[in-house]
Amino acid sequence: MADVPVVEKRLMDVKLGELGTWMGGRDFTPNGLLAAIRRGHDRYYNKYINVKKGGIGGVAMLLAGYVAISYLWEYDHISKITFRNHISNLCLLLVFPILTLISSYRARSLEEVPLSLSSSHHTIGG
Amino acid sequence: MTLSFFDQFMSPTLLGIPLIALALTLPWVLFPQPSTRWMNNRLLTLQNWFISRFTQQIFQPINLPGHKWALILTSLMLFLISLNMLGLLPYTFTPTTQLSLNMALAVPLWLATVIIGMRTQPTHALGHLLPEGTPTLLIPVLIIIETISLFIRPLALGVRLTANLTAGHLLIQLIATAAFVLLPIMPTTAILTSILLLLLTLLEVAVAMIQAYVFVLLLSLYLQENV
Repeated sequence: MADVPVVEKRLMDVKLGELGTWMGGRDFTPNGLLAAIRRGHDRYYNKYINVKKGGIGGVAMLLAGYVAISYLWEYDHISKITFRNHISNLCLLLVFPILTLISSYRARSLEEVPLSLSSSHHTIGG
Repeated sequence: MTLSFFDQFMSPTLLGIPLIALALTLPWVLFPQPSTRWMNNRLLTLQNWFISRFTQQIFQPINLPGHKWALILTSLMLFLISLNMLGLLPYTFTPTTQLSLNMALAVPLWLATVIIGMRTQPTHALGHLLPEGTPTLLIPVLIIIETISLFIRPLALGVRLTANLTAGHLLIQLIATAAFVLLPIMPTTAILTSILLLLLTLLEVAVAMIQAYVFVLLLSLYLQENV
């Protein structure tokens, strides 16, 4: 294992003791945050959407995450509503995760070939 | 109790950031940028197909100077249709239920069409205020009426979109509440109400798409008159 500086390791590779150093060295400027968002978006996009036989799974997982974040955002407000009104929202909520899970499971089991730049080595001649 | 049904239209905040900020930026993520490949992924292919069909449909009757508006009208259509459809998901916030947003979209675009008409061909633009073949006595009355109808257009554009979406969301919430309140008391009526709810949800999906289309179509009509 080469000696990579702590700051440049990915989060999952950082040991617990090194976490403080890692956090201190990361770029939290607006440009840095935007770059991080862009990297995260590209990773998700190239893994789930930009594939040969993409299905509904890629977008459905994104929308399910959006629904979850909206729920968290509104939690303060929703917790004050009585149980009866809550049910009507919950029912619609059940359909969505089931659909997402089914479609994302199916997407993995098909032969998903991520479209990477290195895979397009086929020339016109054959 | 009635007031709580309208609470869904207030943008709730978390750490000071309103949910509308997330709701407005989400359509950006859903329309990725095409790569330089000859054939893109399925999502992009579908979106490209839709965009080209839509642009062709809207801009066929408009003459050449109006085609400069293709980018803004098509992107407006994509924005509205994605905002409307995303609002049908549970717990999400629909920005187009806010009158302020719809007026902010309608008034500048309508005003732009009017100003373009007045600057490039003022006679022709003013000529729209009087339909052909009106009896002479009616001319003053008709000009007043047409002027009023001209100025009411942005109001109508904004309010139409707001009212349709707000009414739809409210209806869904009311009927859903009715269905679940009735479930322990009268199961048959509850099942009928649930069927009604299903049909209503389908209608809402249709309304979401249609309203976006109508908005852009009317703008293109106003453009056609003036350009």
